[in-house]
Amino acid sequence: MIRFVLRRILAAIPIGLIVTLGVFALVFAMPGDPLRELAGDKPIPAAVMAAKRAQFHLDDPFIVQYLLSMKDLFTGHFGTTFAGADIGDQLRLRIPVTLKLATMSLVFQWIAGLLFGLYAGFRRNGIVDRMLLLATLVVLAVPGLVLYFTGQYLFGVELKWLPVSGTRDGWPMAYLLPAICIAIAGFAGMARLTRTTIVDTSNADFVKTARAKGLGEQRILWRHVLPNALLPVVTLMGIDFAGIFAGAVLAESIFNLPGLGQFLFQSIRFKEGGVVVLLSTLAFVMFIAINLVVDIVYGFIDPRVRNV
Amino acid sequence: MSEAQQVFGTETQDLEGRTLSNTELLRALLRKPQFVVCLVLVAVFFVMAAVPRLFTSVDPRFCELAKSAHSRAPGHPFGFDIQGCDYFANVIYGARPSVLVSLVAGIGGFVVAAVLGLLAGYFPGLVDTAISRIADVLFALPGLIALIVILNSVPNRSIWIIVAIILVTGWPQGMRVMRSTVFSVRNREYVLAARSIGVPPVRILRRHVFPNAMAPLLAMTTLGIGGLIGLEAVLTFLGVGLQPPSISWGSQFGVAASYRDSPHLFIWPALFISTMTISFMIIGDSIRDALDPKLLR
Repeated sequence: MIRFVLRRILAAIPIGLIVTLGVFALVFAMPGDPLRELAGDKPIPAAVMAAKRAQFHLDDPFIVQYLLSMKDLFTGHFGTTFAGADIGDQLRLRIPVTLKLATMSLVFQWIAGLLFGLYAGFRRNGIVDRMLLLATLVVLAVPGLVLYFTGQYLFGVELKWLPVSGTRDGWPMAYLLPAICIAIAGFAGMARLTRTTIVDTSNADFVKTARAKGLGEQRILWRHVLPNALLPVVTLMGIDFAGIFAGAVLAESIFNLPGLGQFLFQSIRFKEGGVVVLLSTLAFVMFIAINLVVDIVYGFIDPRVRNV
Repeated sequence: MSEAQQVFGTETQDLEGRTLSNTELLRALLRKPQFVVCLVLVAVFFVMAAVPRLFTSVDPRFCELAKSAHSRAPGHPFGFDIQGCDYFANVIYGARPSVLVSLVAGIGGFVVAAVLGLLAGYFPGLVDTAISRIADVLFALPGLIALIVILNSVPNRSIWIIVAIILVTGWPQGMRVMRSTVFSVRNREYVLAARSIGVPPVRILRRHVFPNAMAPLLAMTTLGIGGLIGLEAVLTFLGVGLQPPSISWGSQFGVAASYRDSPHLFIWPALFISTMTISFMIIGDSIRDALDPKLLR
């Protein structure tokens, strides 16, 4: 087990290097001077400019800048953004926002997806099943942008049940609406996948065998159907979880939540290479970690893929 | 987007086996009313993108500021936008970027994923390793982040550049689907027979492997087109997609987001884009059902 984990981490290191180097190169290649844009129309004294450029190592060659920002990343001294905000403080403020939003929406969508998917899978071609297939087709097809806006307009602006945007109302009120919107968009996939795998597994030979040798329905369900049916569902949960970062960019900018997604978007705007690399690394580490956890969980559910 | 593909991908898993001939497939599809309706809808959107003047005689760039954000009036069924331009004309003209994305990114994505998947699946070893490692790197980058960063570094973004960048970052998933189906086909008797009589690899891939391995990727691509249309709208909404003078549904959402008292600014483009994405989704769903080997038995 430990060897498996170590091997996976070792394999992730070169990919991580390429990813961070690529992101940094892209930010580096963006046209325009970040500091001059920050100052707007006002002229900056040459001495101030030179000091600022030296502070952010903007005159160093590309590879030196990259190595310096990697050093910051590993030592934990993130420094400040071009505008002067302490990056460490920003992270401390913003990580909870994104985490709260992500956990809430994931819990909603997993519960709803599993419940509907299991029920529809066991009562195949029933009313719930048909309704679910139609509803999920629509939800999967409608762009997330439209879904978020509709939710915001309906429950925020018209019905006034929930705050329209911002985090002024604190947890949980301010997070409820965005979390529900993300959950609706996500639950469709979950429900459909659960339904399909339940149907497939219920028709599998080993379930027929179990029934033929006279096992009770409960035992068939818990010991034979569910453990096999849940394998792809666990994979999808991992994909969902790994995708919260990218999803946060859109949801946080529509609902104006000061989370990591918004921070990332602003940093790209202001060409803050260091911050972008820091956040991309965070997203990458999460991606690798979640994939690893999914594989380990797989090993617990399915002895066939137990990793040594 | 990718989630929908992932889900439908699992539903598509066991598509290998006998595949329908093209006429059989077409006949099976045309028997479904929902497929025909959606095909007609998509055709209407394509015409709308090609010749918007068929639908409206009003110039979308003719504006009277006095009528800013007014609701509907005779001759202006959707009302006016913030600049006082006729909104119906604007929504009609906004179809073009979305249709271009659906066409070019759909077909282009299919071709790129198919070619790379064929190569990776048929030539294990160096070619497979190279393609799969690049796919790993692209997979590990959160999709939207890469797109935002790349698009930010491109000045003068046209729809072609956006599509190209979506293609460059978006192929790994389709490639993996194609690669796994090629794996299951490459050792079938007819491929071995072709190889044993000395048919060159390119011809084997084109004539024998590709037709028998394309079905899952085809279903996945049509199911993903709706997501691509949504992606273009998201990018434009975030300000890294199309830029102001060009008319698109994404930029109309961006404007609507700051004027919440005039819901008609949001409702109409939302209705159009959703109709289009749902049509593509149902078409993809029908294709997948028609390809399902369980129905052949």
